Amino acid sequence: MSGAGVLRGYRGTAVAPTTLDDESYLEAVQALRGIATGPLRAHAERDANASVDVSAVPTGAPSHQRIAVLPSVSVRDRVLRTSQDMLWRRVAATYERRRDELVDLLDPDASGAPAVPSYLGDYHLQPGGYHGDALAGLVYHYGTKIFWLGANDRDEAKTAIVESVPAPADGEVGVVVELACSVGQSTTAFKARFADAEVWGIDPAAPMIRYARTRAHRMGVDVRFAQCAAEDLAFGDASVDLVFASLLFHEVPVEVARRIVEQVARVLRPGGVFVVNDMNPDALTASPWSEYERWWDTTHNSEPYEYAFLGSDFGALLGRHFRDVEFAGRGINARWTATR
Amino acid sequence: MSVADPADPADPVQPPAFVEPAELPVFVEPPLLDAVVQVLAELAAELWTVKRRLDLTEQELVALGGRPLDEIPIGDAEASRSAAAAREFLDGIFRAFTAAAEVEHP
Repeated sequence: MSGAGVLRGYRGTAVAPTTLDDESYLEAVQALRGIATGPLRAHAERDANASVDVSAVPTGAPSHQRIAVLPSVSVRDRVLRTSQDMLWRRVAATYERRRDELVDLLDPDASGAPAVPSYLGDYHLQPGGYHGDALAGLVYHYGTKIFWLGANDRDEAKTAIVESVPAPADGEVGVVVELACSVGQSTTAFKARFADAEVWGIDPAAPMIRYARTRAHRMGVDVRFAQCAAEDLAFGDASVDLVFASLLFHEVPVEVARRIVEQVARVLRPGGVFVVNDMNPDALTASPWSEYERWWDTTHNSEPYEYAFLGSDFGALLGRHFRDVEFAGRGINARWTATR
Repeated sequence: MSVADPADPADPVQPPAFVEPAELPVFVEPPLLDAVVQVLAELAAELWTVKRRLDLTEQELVALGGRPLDEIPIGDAEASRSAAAAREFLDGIFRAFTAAAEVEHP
């Protein structure tokens, strides 16, 4: 992506905000998020865990109501929610100022593209979600730049995750598919790691695919993107060596998760690997605060399927379709490595 | 004319003892909290925006060279320094807020 639409260049790999004031404002929003997720969260966690018996983690409305009214928790909740609202509002506004030029820079919209799944929501409070606006990919990219608090400005966090993904034991990696690739940061990292492989990124949202293609082209990375829901994979049976899904399953209904796993099992060849990075189900039982935080994210940060996913025994679902499933959980993050 | 006795807690003339913000049990009710946080956050962000303009480095001003302010070619390193400075700036503004959230509760 180059030309008049990006007059102020890039911040990391994201298109810079249109004005200096917008960029400065978003620096402040990033700082606010850092305060909410740092010191304010620490205070809230301490108070929440002290407010209930940690030996018997209660769940449900009574526990949530008791924790939510603690002053430190209500402050954390409000500051985090406010920072999210400010983030999306200003990121959308800054690109809106140059909408026509930026839309012209995007890869052309695909005609005859499949319909967007009805379950898609305005995840993380992004207005219109991943699919509701042509500039959603740009907005999402800068929004997540702030989400990462500067730790992924040059895709370094995504690249590190991709570097840690286990390859099939036989070392054969001819085709790689990333499910729900969004703007393709991991997809391009996979191509850097497996240079000879055919690397695909799929996502149900057309704005994400258009931006992902534009971004990869600007980077000079030869990857392929397709607008496609993960539960409707168009790859042939046993044709793929490695499938990767990062933070997908907590954003789909449990029934859709079941269909996705079936599809991945179908397209993976024997010995192929399905690697899933997502939220750690142990979060529901680790502590009162941990359980509350996931509930809050579900209900107040527009993650409508998160809580149900965490309680769904995702490992058992994988176990019904793969011969070997390894689980590793640490804090809020978890990884399942399933071998076909 | 009488003189109030500062040692007498019942004396209505006696000024109230100063209460540290961190000692306030509940400083605002949730509906008001929403409004306070939103106003404070917006104010802090706008203040930083103004400060950012005032803090433009000499190099940036030279690079500006008469072009519109919004075409300043700020590099990643400068952007990173600015983001860190923004955090320090907002930390100061929100310090009292954070202190209020540190209140111990039964």
